[in-house]
Amino acid sequence: MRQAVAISGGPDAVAVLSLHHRVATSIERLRNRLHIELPLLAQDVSTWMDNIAPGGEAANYLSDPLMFPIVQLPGWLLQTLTGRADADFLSDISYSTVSGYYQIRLLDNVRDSHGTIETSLLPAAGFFESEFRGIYEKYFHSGHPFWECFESFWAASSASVEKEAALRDMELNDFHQIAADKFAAAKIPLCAVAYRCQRPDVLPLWLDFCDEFARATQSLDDLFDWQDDLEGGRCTYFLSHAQRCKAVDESVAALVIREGFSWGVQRFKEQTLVVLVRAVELNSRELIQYLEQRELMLAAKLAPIQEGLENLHRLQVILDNQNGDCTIL
Amino acid sequence: MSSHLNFEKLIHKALKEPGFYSKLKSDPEGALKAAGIHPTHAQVTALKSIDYNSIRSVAQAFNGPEDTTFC
Repeated sequence: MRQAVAISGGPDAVAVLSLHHRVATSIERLRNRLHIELPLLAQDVSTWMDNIAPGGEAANYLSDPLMFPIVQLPGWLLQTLTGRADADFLSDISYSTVSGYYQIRLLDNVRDSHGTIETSLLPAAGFFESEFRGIYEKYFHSGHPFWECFESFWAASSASVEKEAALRDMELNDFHQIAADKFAAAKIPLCAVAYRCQRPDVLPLWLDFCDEFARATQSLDDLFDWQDDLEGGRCTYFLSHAQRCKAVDESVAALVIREGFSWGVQRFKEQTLVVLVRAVELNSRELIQYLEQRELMLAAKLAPIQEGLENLHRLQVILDNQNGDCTIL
Repeated sequence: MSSHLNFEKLIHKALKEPGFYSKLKSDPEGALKAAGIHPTHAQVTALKSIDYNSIRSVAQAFNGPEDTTFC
């Protein structure tokens, strides 16, 4: 069982503070604020927060090691800069980040037409954004350089969605830019930590890492969601590549089964290497441990899928050959 | 219906319909016929070499309760 640890400093203190506890506390705080600010909508929003989490528990979802580590990153940076926890600050940052996540997720779901319930919850988008932004007003006065970062990354995040939606075919350069910008909001808490510690000089490396990790994460997301994306008519780099590579009389799905998924896995592995190189430069033991754990979990997920796709392809080859030959060339 | 279209339909059933993989496993010929594909005797024999449990893994990974999300 994960334990919450009250901390006020000391080596590795940030690492000790339970991620799950921090996320759960932030979500509870958010639910309480919802009941105050949006009493008529609060219950529905609260239920939605749980329902979009596989497994039905919002805190488990956001602290899943396979998720982009939006809540962990600021803590890891703080650890490398100070070696100790600033528990109240970290708690606030987590709250802001969770609020920002739900704002983005709510709008994304409306845009992707994942569900109809989100449309009725749209007034909560303003609430989430206000909570996300409001926390930083406690720490940085207007005119502080932090706000330039905030505005720039928040705008990049919104613009990426618009740019992606306009594309019918995605090239690699588009993918690199869009994927990095989609996760740009995750850079805001990193900037907050760096400025609070008066160490903005560390930001370029951390922000660069964020970009590369965003690209790896988006590659993976596109790989696992290819069927939904295909059915929903969404443009991704993975599906654009499949469209370009398939034979004239072959479907995108058949190409994915034949070789596309393996290609996507290989691309993801190459991107992961780039991420690891960047991570080493950040000198964060916790980050490296996280990446190693994540890599093992992903390898365990990907291997059976690839095996299953090989069998589906074998099935196709058999069906294409009246004599039952299942030799895969 | 062309074999490509049939295979398309088969992929969809294998990945989207809960339980189809078990029909494929227990009675591949019957499952394929239900999907509009009529295999030859040689094909039915070859179908025994398929690992249908692994196809179930694919269906679960993409559509099951353990559907994976990263962001």
